[in-house]
Amino acid sequence: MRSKTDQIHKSTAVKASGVTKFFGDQQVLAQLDFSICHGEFVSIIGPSGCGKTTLLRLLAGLEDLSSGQVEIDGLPIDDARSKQEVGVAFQLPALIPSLTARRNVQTTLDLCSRKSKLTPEQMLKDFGLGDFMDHYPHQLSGGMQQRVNIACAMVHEPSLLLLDEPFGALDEMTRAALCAWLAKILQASQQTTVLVTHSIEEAVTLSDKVIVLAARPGRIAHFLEVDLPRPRMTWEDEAFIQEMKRVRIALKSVDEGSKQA
Amino acid sequence: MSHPRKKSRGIPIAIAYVTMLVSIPVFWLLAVEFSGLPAVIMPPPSQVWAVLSSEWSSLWYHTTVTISGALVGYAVANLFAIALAILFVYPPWSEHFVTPWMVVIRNVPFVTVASILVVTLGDTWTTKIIVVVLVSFFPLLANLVKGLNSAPPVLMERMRVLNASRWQVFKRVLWPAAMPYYVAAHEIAFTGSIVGAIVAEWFFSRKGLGFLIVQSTTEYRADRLYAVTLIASVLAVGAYLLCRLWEHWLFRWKRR
Repeated sequence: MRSKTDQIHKSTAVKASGVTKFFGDQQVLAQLDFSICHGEFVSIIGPSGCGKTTLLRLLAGLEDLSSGQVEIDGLPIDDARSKQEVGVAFQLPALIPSLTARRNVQTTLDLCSRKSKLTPEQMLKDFGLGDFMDHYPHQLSGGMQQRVNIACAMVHEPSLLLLDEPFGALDEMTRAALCAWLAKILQASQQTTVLVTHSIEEAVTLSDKVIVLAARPGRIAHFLEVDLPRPRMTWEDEAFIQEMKRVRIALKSVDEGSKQA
Repeated sequence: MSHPRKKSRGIPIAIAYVTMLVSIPVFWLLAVEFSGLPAVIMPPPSQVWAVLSSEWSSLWYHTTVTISGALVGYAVANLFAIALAILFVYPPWSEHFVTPWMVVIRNVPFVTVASILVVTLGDTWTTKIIVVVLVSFFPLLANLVKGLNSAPPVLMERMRVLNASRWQVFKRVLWPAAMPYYVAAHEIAFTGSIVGAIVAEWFFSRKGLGFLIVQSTTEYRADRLYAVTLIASVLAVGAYLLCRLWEHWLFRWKRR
């Protein structure tokens, strides 16, 4: 079981200061400051258009900062990206259609100069895809494709894993199953992770911290700690329901504030 | 995973091809019988077969000339098309710069270009190659550019996050994405290269199937004209089927 005190290393994995982003004249993010420790799981939630995905793309080095600074393991974003310290899984699986699941995961390792203790075979077995390694993406269900997608993003053991609504396109039951699966996987790997999601349930189930963004421009409205024992994922647990309520209230206040503005 | 319905589709297609092959001589015989035209204008299959047998060495020689012209021209067209398509991707503005030239070259009737080439370069191998390139180059280029630009953005971003080099991105994402478009272009352009070679020979050459067509027409040798038509058709259909076979092999993973 993952506990705040004994398993999470407290050194800083991600440090963001004064993160600001403009698209033309429009300010999307304003002066965001936060830090994420090694092994932590942080979710970013907020109303539509608050800049969640933009923030994730900035962390991935896919967008340039207008001002401010982001460091991953003490390295500026571009340096971290060039050292392949970041792994990203988007909502749409980024899989090469003509390659099997195994070779798709292997592709990440082929492109990386970094050494990894993980192998595609072991990773896919751990991800419950041992019988599907030699299947092509079109032969896999949406949930399986997303698991291969996450394996592709994790196999090179990046310092930071970014997940952009990875289960957003899946049906409710698959989504819940994958959420439980991801919690188990990340608990075992102690992977530092940032998740962008619209789902409060996902955020509370998976996260150590939840960043609630307010919109126009995107700014941090709440930085909530989720102090629940793991594994979570149960609606019968009163503490879990209370935590869901707390995040919902924070999100609702932000949403109402955005509408008034 | 098996798709039994897909597998069974192969049988009607094969039957359709066999039916077509059997129907041609039947329709031909019917046309000869009911048209009332003399054999000197519309020869029966037996007479054309006799020409194919008796003049085979000459026909084969001219066929090889056409095939080699088409193949060399087609290879050059592919080289140019691939090089230009890559140029259009790195950097993209180059497409805007080159496009007006492409529009002009594509829309000048190639028969007039062929005539100008004969006047300028004479009855040479180069003239024929240029004509074949003009006929087959544009479908290849258009499809390649479209294919290279069809790479899924999410896959491109995965490559960017992994700091992949341009070559790695091209090899692993852009080229595989372009392949279905490239193969589709071959189905049109490869056949087109044979037609282009024949047309080039028809204009000015002293050898090749195009030359035989002109010679047979002026000598009122309808039997040989029909024989050449048969050979040219077999070549064009063969080229098309070769492309389909390549496509079938290349995308075998899709049938799993």
